Amino acid sequence: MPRISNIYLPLIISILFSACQKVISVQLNSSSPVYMIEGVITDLPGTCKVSITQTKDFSGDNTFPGVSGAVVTVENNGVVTPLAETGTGVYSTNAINGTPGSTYNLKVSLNGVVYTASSTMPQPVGLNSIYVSKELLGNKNYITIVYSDPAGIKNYYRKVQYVNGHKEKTLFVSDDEFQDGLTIRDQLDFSNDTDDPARDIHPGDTVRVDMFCIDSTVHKYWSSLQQNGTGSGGSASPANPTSNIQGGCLGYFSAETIRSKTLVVPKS
Amino acid sequence: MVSLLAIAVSPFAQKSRAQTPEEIKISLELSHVSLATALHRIEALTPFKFLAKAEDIEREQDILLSVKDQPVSKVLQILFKGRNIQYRQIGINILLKKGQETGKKTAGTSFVSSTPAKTDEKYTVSGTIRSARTGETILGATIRVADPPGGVTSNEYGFYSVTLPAGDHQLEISAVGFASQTLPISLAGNVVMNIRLNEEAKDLQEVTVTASSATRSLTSTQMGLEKINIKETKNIPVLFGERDVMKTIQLLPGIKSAGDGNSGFYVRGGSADQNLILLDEATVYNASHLLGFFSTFNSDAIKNVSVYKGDMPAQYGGRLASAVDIKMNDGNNKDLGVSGGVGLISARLNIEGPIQQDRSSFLISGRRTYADVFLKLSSDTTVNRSRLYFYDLNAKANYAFGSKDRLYLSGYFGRDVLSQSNLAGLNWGNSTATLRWNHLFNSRLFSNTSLIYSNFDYKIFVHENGNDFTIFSQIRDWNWKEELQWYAGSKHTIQTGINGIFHTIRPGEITSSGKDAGVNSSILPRRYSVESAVYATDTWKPSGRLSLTYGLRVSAFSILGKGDYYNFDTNGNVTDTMHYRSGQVVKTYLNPEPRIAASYQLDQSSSLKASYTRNSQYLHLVTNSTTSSPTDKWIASTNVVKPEISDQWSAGYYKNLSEDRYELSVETYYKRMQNQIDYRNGANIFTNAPIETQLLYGIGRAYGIEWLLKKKTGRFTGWLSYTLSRTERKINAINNDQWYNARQDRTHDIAIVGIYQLNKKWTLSANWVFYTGDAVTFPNGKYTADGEVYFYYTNRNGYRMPNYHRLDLGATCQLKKHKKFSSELAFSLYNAYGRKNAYQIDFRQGKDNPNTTEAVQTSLFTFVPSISYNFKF
Repeated sequence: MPRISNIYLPLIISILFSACQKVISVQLNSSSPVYMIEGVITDLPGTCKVSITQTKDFSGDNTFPGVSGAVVTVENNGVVTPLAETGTGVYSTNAINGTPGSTYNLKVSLNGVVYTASSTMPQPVGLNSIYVSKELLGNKNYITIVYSDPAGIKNYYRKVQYVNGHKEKTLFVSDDEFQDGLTIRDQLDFSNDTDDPARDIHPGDTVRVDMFCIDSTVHKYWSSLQQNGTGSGGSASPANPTSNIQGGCLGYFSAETIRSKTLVVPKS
Repeated sequence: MVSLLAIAVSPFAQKSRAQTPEEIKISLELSHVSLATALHRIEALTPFKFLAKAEDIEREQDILLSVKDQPVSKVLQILFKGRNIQYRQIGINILLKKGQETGKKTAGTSFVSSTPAKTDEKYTVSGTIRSARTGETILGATIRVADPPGGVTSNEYGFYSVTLPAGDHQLEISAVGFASQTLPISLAGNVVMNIRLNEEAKDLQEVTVTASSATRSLTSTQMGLEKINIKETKNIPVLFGERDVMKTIQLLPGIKSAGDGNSGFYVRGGSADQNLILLDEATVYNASHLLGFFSTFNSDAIKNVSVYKGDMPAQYGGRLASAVDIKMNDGNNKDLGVSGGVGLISARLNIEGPIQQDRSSFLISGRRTYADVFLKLSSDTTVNRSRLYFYDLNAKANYAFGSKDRLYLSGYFGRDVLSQSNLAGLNWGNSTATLRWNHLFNSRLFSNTSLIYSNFDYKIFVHENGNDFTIFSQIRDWNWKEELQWYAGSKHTIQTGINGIFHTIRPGEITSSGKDAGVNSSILPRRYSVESAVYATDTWKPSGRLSLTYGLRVSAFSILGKGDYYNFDTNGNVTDTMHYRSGQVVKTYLNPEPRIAASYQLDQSSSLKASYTRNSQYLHLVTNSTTSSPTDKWIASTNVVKPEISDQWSAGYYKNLSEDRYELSVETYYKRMQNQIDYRNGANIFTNAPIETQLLYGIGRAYGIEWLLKKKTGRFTGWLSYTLSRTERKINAINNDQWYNARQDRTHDIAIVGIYQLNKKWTLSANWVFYTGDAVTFPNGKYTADGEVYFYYTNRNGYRMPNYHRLDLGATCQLKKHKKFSSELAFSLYNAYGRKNAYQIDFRQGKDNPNTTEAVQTSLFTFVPSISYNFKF
């Protein structure tokens, strides 16, 4: 279902015609680092990866070094699989073939603290088609994806868009609460707030959309991140996303399915 | 606009028993002077002051006069002979008027009923106070009596009742924007005296806005009250030239703006939904247009506004922080009048006139924005097929049945419409209707019965890209009220009433069209409830110096089926479900809300006051955005969502300085709040799941001190307001269960407003505001997720937005007046020194260097000039 903010957009633009933006310097406190754990198992064979990084101060650069020395395991049906550190702070294995319907339990031991999480891989939902569509007001190109939501079960989705291999940073997260069992057309709207031409969709560009089916706790993570964690001043209560990992860290552990479609934007 | 010019008005000048023009004798020699000069000379020799319309006397020149030791009455007869000018005396004032008036008519049309005088008997003077020009009732006018000292104010229908010992009295009647009058009365029985006040007069030569005495009562026990007469706001500069009383009240202490250019406001640390906004008694649930930049109140239709900052009288209930009581004009009951205006944003038209001459009237007032007219001019089809407008329509009529009954019917309809071709749109608005019946049982017992309808709804439609559906949401009230005001004697005024509201909330209903609509039809369960109250208060004056008001409001809230209600665990998961049949009571909350207030008059010019009030609130607005939106959700209390309760203690000192030219008030308050509500982190705002699964609960506290220094007389008027305050919340599971500053916590809040009447033509104005930036949550760090940078937060509202300040300038030019037609041009410049105030601060990955992060400030309004044209005939 299109978000209401899409309908607002033209209004806000017209109201804020005189609005001006400038980069300012804000004195932000530093805080002691907290672990950020990202764990993913997909239904692609042999894809199971956990990366561990840390928070850093706002003034620092955007490189987030990995954290080494953790003991990481994933358990499924009593079978415990250790993940080896294959890069700094990156732990992976190709011994697990993620299966929809299975529940996976993550355990990370790091500096004497144990972090645990559990995620159940949903059944996959593929994309019927994707096509280029125009924004509501104006001529900007977006991608609309079409998929058939399975009736009678709760489904949670995350979509990731790549334009010529560049990942769009906007989060596309949805569920089927009001769309159960329907053919859903979902336009992947985003605001190019950094004015980066590489993010826009031009004729001739190759666009790929990855469709992830995720479980409810992971959906909660991404949707709360989208609402309150992206740095937008429009949120009345910015906060860290709701994690499905126990033990006092940031992050998520997601057993997810992935389906993709690619198109080349026609030269109008 | 008729401007009344007076030679002088000084209501306090003469307190002794008025003398008559027959008693005072003068000698005077005049040759070839103007009538104005002649009158000035008489003023110099006698206690009398003359009041007249400028156009009635200014053409009278070339006066020749020679009198010796003649009574003033005789002198006036000579002066006015052949000039068709009538006069009548009211106290020390002598009113001059052209025309056929017999002169017998006095300002008060009175008749004496019943019983002859007995010396120790007490009698009641009662009646209605109205504007002499338009017949509009005057609310909150003060009627003062010197001996025994005391006074009353007119109620919200202009009715007053005062009980006095038999004998001679002087009634001094004053009201904001009107010239004071002193009426002599000889009481030998109950008297009905309907009073007509002339609009505030201006001095013939000096253009002085005269002393409207007693704009506030030092003796009244009411605290935390700001009264605004809509006329007073006329010259204050505003954004886009759109006069907005909701923005004017933000310049008063304790009332804070919800943001740059915003008509929303916070009172004494309360949130926006804790303000009860009433238009002719009907609740207005969403009092703003266009994301809050304009209020729904068209100034043309509004008479006055009273803001009670938490110390609400017992007849108001249902909100914690304030009651904003807005009264619509009744309409001119003398002449048909048309007024209107054109501004940058909107055009306005107002028509009013009598139904029964001098007895009843009607009013229709409309406003519509026309930004979309310009959209149509665009050659771009996506733009020219867009719609973006709002309108307001106010209508009111009143009708008198005999001298004791009057019916009022008033309505408001307003809507915002926003759509993009036929593809998608959103429209929302309020409609209210109020039917009221005033009945006078006798001169001391006034009754009002009201039947009120109030509705707010929004509709969203989408017909594009394979999505085809509408969403509808509504909150609707049916409200019945009965109130009695009993002027029990010279020492007691008793107010009692009963009230019942039936609320229906439809949280959201999706209707999809066609098979391939992309959305399923679905209805979030409707919620039904009855909010009722019974109350009584007594205002008691045990002595001339001490007044006490004490009362009790008992409110009850019954949640009714049909519907499912739930119990939850601490994580917000449903533990069990209870089904209720239609009409079955789910739960009833009962809250006694006591209140007590006292005032002690220290001397002629100063007093002390203190009060305590408890309020409860059963409807709550939950929002997770910094911008108000029509889709913000009103929810009713449930078995789990408890009523909000507040207790407010306040104390104040009030002083009139330099012969009442300045008014100083200092008020301080402490308020504690229970059962405050906030969304859980990551709450799903539009969901079929019970709303309680998305909420958290806690407590709040707010305290502060408010200073207000006001100058209401002279060419220069204005005020200086300063608030020092704090407001905090403590919500379970937010900020590690520690106290944190509420977003609207602003330590300092200053407003300076000045209006200068340069000459008859030009009025200049300026206001300057300063406030501490909102308490906001900024990141303390950052991290990476799926290759992107996100922000790490530790404390809720641990940072501040930059301080806000702004200067606005305004000028009003009165254009040349014709016989019946007058017009003016109003210029304003919002944010005159172009301060870039922060509306929002976003954090993002660096635009130029993606390996960094940066803070970006958005500012809205810098240098917004505007011009508007207003007319009246």
